[in-house]
Amino acid sequence: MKFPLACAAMLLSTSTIAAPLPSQASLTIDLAINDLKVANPAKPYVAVWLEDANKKPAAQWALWTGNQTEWLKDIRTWWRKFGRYNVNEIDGYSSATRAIGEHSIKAPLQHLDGSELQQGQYTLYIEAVREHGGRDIVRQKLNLGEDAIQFTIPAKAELGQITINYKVQ
Amino acid sequence: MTTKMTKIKGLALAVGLGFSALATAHPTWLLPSHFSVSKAEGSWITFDYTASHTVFSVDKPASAHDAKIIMPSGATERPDFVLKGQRRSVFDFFFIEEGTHKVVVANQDPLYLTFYTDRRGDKGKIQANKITREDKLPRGATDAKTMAIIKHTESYVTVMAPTEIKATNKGFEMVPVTHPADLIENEAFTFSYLVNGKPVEGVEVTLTQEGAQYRDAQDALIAKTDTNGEVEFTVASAGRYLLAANQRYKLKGDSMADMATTMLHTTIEVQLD
Repeated sequence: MKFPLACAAMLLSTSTIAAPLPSQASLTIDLAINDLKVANPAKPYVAVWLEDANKKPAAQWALWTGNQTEWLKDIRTWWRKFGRYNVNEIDGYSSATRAIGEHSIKAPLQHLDGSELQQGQYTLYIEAVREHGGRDIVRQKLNLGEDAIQFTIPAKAELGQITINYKVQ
Repeated sequence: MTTKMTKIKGLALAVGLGFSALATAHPTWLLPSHFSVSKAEGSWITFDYTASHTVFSVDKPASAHDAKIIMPSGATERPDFVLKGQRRSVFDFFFIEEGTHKVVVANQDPLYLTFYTDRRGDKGKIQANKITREDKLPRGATDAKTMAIIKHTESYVTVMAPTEIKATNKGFEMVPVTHPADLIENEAFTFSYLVNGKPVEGVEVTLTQEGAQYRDAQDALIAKTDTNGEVEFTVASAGRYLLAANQRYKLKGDSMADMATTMLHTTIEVQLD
């Protein structure tokens, strides 16, 4: 009897602290893979994920690596914080590498555990690593709440300009 | 009180003797080609092993025939291939078991030096252990003390998620407090040093980044272990580093030596933030 009661109390206490995101909330990440004008350009590996205020992974939004697992460790920050703990689910997260050009990610506002994301302070991470190339890492704090936000992050070496658009209606 | 005094004296003597013996001994290092594996089918990693006064320069012949891999499960494996060259040894191992592996090259046969005072009161030393010294010591020699010199060289390789590294509680050892797969530039990390499972205070530990020959100074970070046997470092740039500590300690009930010196060298990788 004790256990379900404790669970109910916990659920109650979390729901009083955390508020759900507005029902119409949506998040779009537009990013470009730069044309580096090199011979035999390799497509970069790109990981896009979200961490909560405690720096714990909250959502995994893109993993453009194809089926290879050997080089996952080279997306160094992503591997250390997320990949190495979730090797059994990598298949479910990964998709094909992307070509030079613009790409848009419609980020589902769902927690890794399948629940809806709650309002709060998060950090969006975008890490891109290219064979014979470099590594870009973008960290952007996001306050997901009642207000719309937009960020434009200037182009880096591997990634072009990134636009993050959080809409609430 | 009396016993304590004797102990301190004994230690001071050991420190004095150890220095001359170690000055001639080349430090060894072990360098894995990779420190982490994400390939689901497993991955080969190759190791360089040599003795050199410069971090990750190849210099003196050193045999890796004693190399062993302590698996995440605790089992011990031998490398799949070992090659010995004139200036280094190379060995390869196929890593597939998930978790953290400790890779060790430790000379199983320590170098034994016996120090003594001769009849005139002069100090001398011979290569002999406690058993063989009986025949080798000059007549009338006193204060014979035998030191075992152990070179213990190690590194860590992690397949997928890191696993805990446990102390062996035998001899002088480094037990990471911050996991070796979690060393990040500009973030403090901590290592602990133990002798027979007990923390040792005051051990001088140096941390040197590779490539010293391409900068004007060694730029080694030096720290001393605190009462918990711990040292903390923070480095400004990612890269490969050699963590080095020497420790002299008394041996109890050892048939071969009265004291031991362990040169404990650990290669670590500090990652990009």
